[in-house]
Amino acid sequence: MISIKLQLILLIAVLIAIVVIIRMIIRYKLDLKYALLWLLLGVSFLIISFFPSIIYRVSNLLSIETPTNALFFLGIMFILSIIFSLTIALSRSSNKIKQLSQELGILKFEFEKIKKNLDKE
Amino acid sequence: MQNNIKVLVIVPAFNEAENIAKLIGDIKKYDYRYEVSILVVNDYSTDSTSTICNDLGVSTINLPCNLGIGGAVQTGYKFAKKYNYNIAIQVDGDGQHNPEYIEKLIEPLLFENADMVIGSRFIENIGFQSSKLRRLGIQYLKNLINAITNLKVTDPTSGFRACNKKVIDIFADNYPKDYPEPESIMLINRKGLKVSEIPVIMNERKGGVSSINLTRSVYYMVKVSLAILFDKIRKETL
Repeated sequence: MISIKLQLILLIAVLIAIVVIIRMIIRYKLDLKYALLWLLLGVSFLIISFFPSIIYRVSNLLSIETPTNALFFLGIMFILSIIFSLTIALSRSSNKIKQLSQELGILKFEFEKIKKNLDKE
Repeated sequence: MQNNIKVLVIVPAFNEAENIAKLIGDIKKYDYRYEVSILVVNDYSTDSTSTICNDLGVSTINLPCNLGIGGAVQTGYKFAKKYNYNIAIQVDGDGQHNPEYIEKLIEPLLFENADMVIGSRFIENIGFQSSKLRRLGIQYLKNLINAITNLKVTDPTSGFRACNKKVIDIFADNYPKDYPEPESIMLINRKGLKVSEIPVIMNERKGGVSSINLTRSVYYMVKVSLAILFDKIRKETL
């Protein structure tokens, strides 16, 4: 059984989280691209906290003994997928940083060379 | 001197203040039959590497942040591609590689059909042979590469190598990041290009510290083995 207490805590926490995420997106502090999974997580948990019966079905379906454990299971699955998406974003970013640094290094070298030639004249 | 052949010596350097001046002097000491230029890629050293290179008047690219050996060397290949060098040679900044072999490394590219030539310590087994444990690791990598590609490379971890234009273009676009040497051999072999080796004598590093210590060795072996295996899968699907 999911207690009313847990249901309420879940509801309040999810509401606060969603508000914070939306506010950050509006203020351009969070890219919608990376916030999408978080929003999806927030909305799913919001639905679950309103209709806990979903969690009972999930626990029955997966033969998980208590609905609370099913809730944890869903939460962990979500967190893992978010972490994985971050690893992908990190790989992409580090490749971009590498390319930028290399270009910048070559440009700096060329710039110094031109500057030296100008000084000579 | 054959003017039509432009050779770029790429020297990746990270905190090599103790070795770099002697190395640059050694490279300049020899008379080459080709037009040889030196390019130091300073991988955001925290010591005086940059100042020393500046005082020596050697061309130096100072990277704005530390990219690791792969990113540093690739900068050199990008430079070689941009300025149309015919041949690029990697010589490590720590002084382990003896510049007297530069001409010998180039020859198979010009007179045989090699695309990449590796300077190997383990053909004649003379000179600095590395520690016993490392030799064991290198032996293992050699066997691994041989087992899955039929390629015989006695010194797959050697960073002393020369490449022709085809390989420069490939490396400029795609070069493995950390511990790149064995993986890059796989890449060149996958592209259908020829890798060959010549015997060289290496020196023990004189100053500074190696980038691979004992604790990183295990990580190195696991990562490089996986990189080699993943590259094998690439070959079959791409």
